[in-house]
Amino acid sequence: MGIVKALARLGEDDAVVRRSKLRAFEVILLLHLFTTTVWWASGGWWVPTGDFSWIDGPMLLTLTCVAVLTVMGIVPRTRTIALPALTALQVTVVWNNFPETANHTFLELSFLMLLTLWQPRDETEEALLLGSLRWMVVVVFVYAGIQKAVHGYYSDGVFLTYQLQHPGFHSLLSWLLPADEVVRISSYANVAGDGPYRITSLPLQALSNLSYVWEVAAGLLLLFHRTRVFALAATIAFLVITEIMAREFFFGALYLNALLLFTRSDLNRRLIWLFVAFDVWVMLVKLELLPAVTTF
Amino acid sequence: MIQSNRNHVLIAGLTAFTLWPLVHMAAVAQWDINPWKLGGWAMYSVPVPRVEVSLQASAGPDETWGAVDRLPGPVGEELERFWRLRRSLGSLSRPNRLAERFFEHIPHATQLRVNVITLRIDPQTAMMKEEHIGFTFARDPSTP
Repeated sequence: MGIVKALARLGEDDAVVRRSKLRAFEVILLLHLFTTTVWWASGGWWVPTGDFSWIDGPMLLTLTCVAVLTVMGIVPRTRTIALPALTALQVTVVWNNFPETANHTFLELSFLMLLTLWQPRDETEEALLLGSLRWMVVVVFVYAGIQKAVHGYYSDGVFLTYQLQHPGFHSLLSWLLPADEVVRISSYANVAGDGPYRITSLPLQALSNLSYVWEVAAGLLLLFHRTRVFALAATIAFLVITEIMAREFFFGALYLNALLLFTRSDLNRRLIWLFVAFDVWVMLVKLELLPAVTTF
Repeated sequence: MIQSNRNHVLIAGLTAFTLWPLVHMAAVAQWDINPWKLGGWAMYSVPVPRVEVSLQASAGPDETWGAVDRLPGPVGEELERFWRLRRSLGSLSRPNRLAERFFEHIPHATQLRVNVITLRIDPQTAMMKEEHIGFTFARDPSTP
């Protein structure tokens, strides 16, 4: 089948590096899922400071089960049992939050389903798995750009102007804009009649339009060997800029793990400490041993 | 699972994953679904629309409408549920269940109006605007 061949081609890599990379990707994903489970089980960032009422018997039991399944998923001998169970658990999470389920939860489920359904037995299947994961990354990136173009809030910078009220966006965008305009936008209470949420600023308009062009172009360029290094640098840069502004670190960590699948070397494994450090940091924030410096 | 079946499952899954955002775009246009939701990868493509829901009731066809502020627990829960559904699913969610609960728990009311206000920025004018939609329900005379 043509599609299978195309996917296998997209997953071409040094066989040893590919195997190691896929394994590291899976381990990082499982740790990430455990961390997000703890985070959301505890009420996410809505839980007031000092409130540990979420730690009750059923919750402890649930978290213990998830922890055991995560460890079983990491251990090669037991992963075939753990992955379907974790997928079922993730389906429950999606269902319980539906229709308010966050997009990164859908992406976590999609990755998990793929890893569960497609447990590779040889090099050809590993190539197919890697190609499929890479294809999913491209789909998300390209559609994120297309959606920005379709809804009409980026062509003249309305979305970014509105987002100036968000501290993360404000910190990065305000220096591009006239100070009095920043004050004007920040003063709105966002009630009917407020506006216009539009600033005549060439840098802002350029950045706004560049953002979706960048996403679509860099996403597509990830597909080709010759342009992959450039595209990877562009997508990671885009992700970093987005994270500085939006501070959706769970999505950022998940997506960085997936983007690293495009590197020639085994960066997923080499950078596993970075992801573990992120997970530990989140746990320490949740336990109030570190201050909450951001939203997720 | 034999190899060809595995391939078919993989292709079906990836095809759905690839085409779903197109369905999502059509659904957003048709039913005013919140673009941030339902896995269409449209987060940060629009300012998050804000949805507010309020209730008005009357005791008879010729009676004046009054705002309903205090709600019995089950009605309040249903109102919250409807608000959550509405802000994600847009016009796909209707307050029929809310009306049922309302008439169940507030016996003197014969009519209910559910007002939905959506606050969003108009992309053309860049102004914040309100969109009002009202749903009016009358108590079914056959129910106590």
